[in-house]
Amino acid sequence: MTEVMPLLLVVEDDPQMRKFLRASLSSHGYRLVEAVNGAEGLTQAASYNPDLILLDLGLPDIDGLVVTQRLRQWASAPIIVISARGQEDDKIHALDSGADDYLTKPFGTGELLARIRVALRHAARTRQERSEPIITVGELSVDLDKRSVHVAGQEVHLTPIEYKLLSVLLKNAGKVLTHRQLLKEVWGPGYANNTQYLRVYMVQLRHKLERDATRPRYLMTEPGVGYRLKSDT
Amino acid sequence: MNSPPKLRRPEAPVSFLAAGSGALLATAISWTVFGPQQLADVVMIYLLGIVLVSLRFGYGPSLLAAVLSVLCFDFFFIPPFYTFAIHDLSHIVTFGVMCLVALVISGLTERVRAQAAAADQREQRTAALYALSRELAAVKRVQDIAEIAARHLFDALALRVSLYVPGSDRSRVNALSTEAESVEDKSGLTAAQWVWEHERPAGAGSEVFPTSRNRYLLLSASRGRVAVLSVLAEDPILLNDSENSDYLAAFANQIASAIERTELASEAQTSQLRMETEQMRSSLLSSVSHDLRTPLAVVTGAASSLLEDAIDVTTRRELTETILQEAQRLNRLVRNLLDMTRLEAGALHIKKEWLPLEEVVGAALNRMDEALAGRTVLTELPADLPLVPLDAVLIQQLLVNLLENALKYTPAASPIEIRARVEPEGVELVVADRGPGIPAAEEARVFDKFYRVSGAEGGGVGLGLAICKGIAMAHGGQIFVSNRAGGGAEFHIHLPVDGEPPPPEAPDPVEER
Repeated sequence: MTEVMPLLLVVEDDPQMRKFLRASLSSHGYRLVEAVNGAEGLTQAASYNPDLILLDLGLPDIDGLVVTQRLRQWASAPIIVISARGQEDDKIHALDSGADDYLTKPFGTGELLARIRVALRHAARTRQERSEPIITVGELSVDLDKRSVHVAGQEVHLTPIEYKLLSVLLKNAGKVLTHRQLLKEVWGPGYANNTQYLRVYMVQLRHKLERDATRPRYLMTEPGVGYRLKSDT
Repeated sequence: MNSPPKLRRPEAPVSFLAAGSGALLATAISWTVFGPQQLADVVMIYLLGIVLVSLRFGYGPSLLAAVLSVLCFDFFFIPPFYTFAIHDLSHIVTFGVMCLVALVISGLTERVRAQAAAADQREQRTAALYALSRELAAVKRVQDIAEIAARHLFDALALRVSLYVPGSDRSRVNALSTEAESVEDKSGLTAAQWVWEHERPAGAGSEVFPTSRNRYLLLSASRGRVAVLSVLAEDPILLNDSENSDYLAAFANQIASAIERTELASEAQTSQLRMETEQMRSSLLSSVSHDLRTPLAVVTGAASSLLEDAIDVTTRRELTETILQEAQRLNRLVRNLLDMTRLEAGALHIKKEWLPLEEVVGAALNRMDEALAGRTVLTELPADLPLVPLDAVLIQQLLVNLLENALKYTPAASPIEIRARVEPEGVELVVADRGPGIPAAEEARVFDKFYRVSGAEGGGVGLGLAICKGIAMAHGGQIFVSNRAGGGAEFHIHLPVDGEPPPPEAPDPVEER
C-alpha cells in the first residue's frame, strides 16, 4: 500500500511548541507545513490545501477564532484548535465556528495523535458519503441500516430521541460535539439552547449503554464544552 | 444639681420657727433651773441654744436665734423684769458679747458645714469618675463609649452629650448617634467640624457659634485630638461654674483616653494582621518556589543526562518517564496556583447550569482515569438525585482535587468512595477514603491556604483543599471533613439547590422510526 501520508498545517507562534509538534508528527510519518501566525496560516492553508490544520487559539496577530471562521469559508480540512485550560468558552466558540476538535495544553503525543487520527478518519468518511452500516466501538455495536443497538451482544431498546442522539455521536465518533451542535442535530435549530433536554437524554442513554454510568466507557462528558463518543483509535 | 449634700437643709420657714423655738426653749430652761440670780449660767444656756440652731439650721436662723435670745434675756432676766428697758448699762456689753459669740459660732459652724458638703460632693464626683473609667475600660467600640459617656454625664451633671468622631481620613468628623441622644442637626455638625479643625472649644459661652445652645469641646489624648464632645446643659449657668467645668474636663479626659485606647487597639490589630499576611506571603513564596524548583531541577537534570551519548536504553527510558512525571507535577502545581489566584481575585466567573451529578462525577473520574488505575472507586449515586445548579468545570476540578488528595495521602490499594444524597436544601456529595484520616483539631484548618496536615508526607503546597473550599463557597455551598468510623477521611460537599430545574421533558424530534 503506497499511501501518501497526510499533510498537516501547524499554525503556532511558539518556536518550542512548533519544535515539539514537528518532532512528534514527523516521526509518525506526517508531512508538515508550518506557520508562525494567523496571516501566514491562512496563506499556507490556501497554497498547500492541507489535510488537517492544527491551530493555536492564542496567536499574536489574528484571534484563532477569526482564523477558524475565515478558513471555514472555503476549506473543508478538519481543524484542531490548541488552547489553554480555563478557556472553555473559546473552545465552544471555536467548535461552533467550525473547528473539529480541541487539545488542551499541556498534552502528550498520544492524545495529539489520537485526535489527528479521529479527525482525518472522520473527514475521509464524510468524503465517502456512505459509511459502513455497522459501527462498533468496544462492546457497543450499532447497525445504522437496521437501526438496532447491541451492547455485548445484547440488544438494547432505545427511544427515537435516544437513538438519534446516539447516531449523531456515532457519526462523529471520537470527535467532541458541543451542546449546541448536538441539540441542533437532534431536536432542530429551534432548540439549540435547551441543554437540559440533552443532559437528561444523555443520562438515560448512559444508563442503557454503560455498565457503570459514573465510569462511562463510550459516552464521555467534556465539562463545560459538550460530549464525545469515545472511539478506538 | 443632682448631687446635693446628704444632710438636706430644712426649708426656710421651718428653720426660722426652729430658731424662735430654740430661743424660747433656752428661756424656759434658764427660768426654771437658774432664775435671774445666776446670769452667767443663763447666758451659757442661751449660747448653747444658738450653737445648736446654727449647727442644724445654718447662718440665718442662728442670727435670728441670737437676736431673740438677747431680747428674751433682757425681758425675763434683766431688771426691770418683763420690759425691754435696761437700768444697768453694763448689760449692754453682755448683750453685745452674746450677739458677737453667736455670730462667730454660727460663722464657724457654717464653714464646717460647707466644707463637709464640698468634701461630700468631691467624693461623689470622684466616685462617678471612677465608675465611668471602670465602665469605659471594658469597652472596645467607640459607639459603646459614646453611650456610656452620655449616661454618666447625664447622671452626674445633668448634661446631654453626644460625640463626633473622625472618619477614616481623619479630616472630617461625623455624628455618632447614641441611644440617649439622637443625632443633632446640621449646625451641630458644622460647629463640631470647626472645633475639630481649629482645636478650640465653640458653641454656648464662647465667641464661635455663640447662639448655639450646645457647647462643643475638643477631646484630645496623648496622641492628639480624638473626637468632639457636644454638651447641652439644661441650666447654662451650670457650665460657667469653675468646679463644674473642671469636673466636665475630667470626664472629657476619661472619654478621650477611652477613644484613643480603642484606636490603638484597632491599629494594633491591623498591624498584627498585616504582619501575619506578610509572614504568610513569605512562607508561601518559599514554599512555592521550593515546590516549583524541585520538579524543574529534576527535569533539567534528566534532560541534560539524556543529551549525553553514553546512556543505555533502559536509563534513557527511565529518565524520559521522570521528565514526564515531573512535568505533570509542575502542571498540577501551576494549575492550582492559577485557580487559587483566580478564586481570590474574584475573577472566577461561575456558570451554573442544571446538571446531573452523575455526569460531573463521571467526568472527574474520567480525567483521573490513569492516576486511579489499580484503585477501587465505589460510586453510590441514588437514582432519584435531582439536577443540581453547578458549574461543571469547577465542580469537576473540586472532585479532581479531592481525588488527587486521596491518592496522595492514602495507601496505594485502599478504596475511595464517592457518594451523594438528597438533603432538605440541596445535595451532599461525599468523597471518602480509608487513609490515616485528619488529625483532631485540624479538620477546619486543612482548608486553609498553604496548610498541610502536620507530619504529612509528600504532596504539594497545600492549595488543593483551599481551592475546593473556594469552589464550594462560590456555589453558595460548604465543604467540611470528618473522620470515618473504621478509619479514613470523609469530605462532605454541600451544594444548595435553589429554585426549580427547567422542565426535563424534551419536545419530540421528528419521528424517524
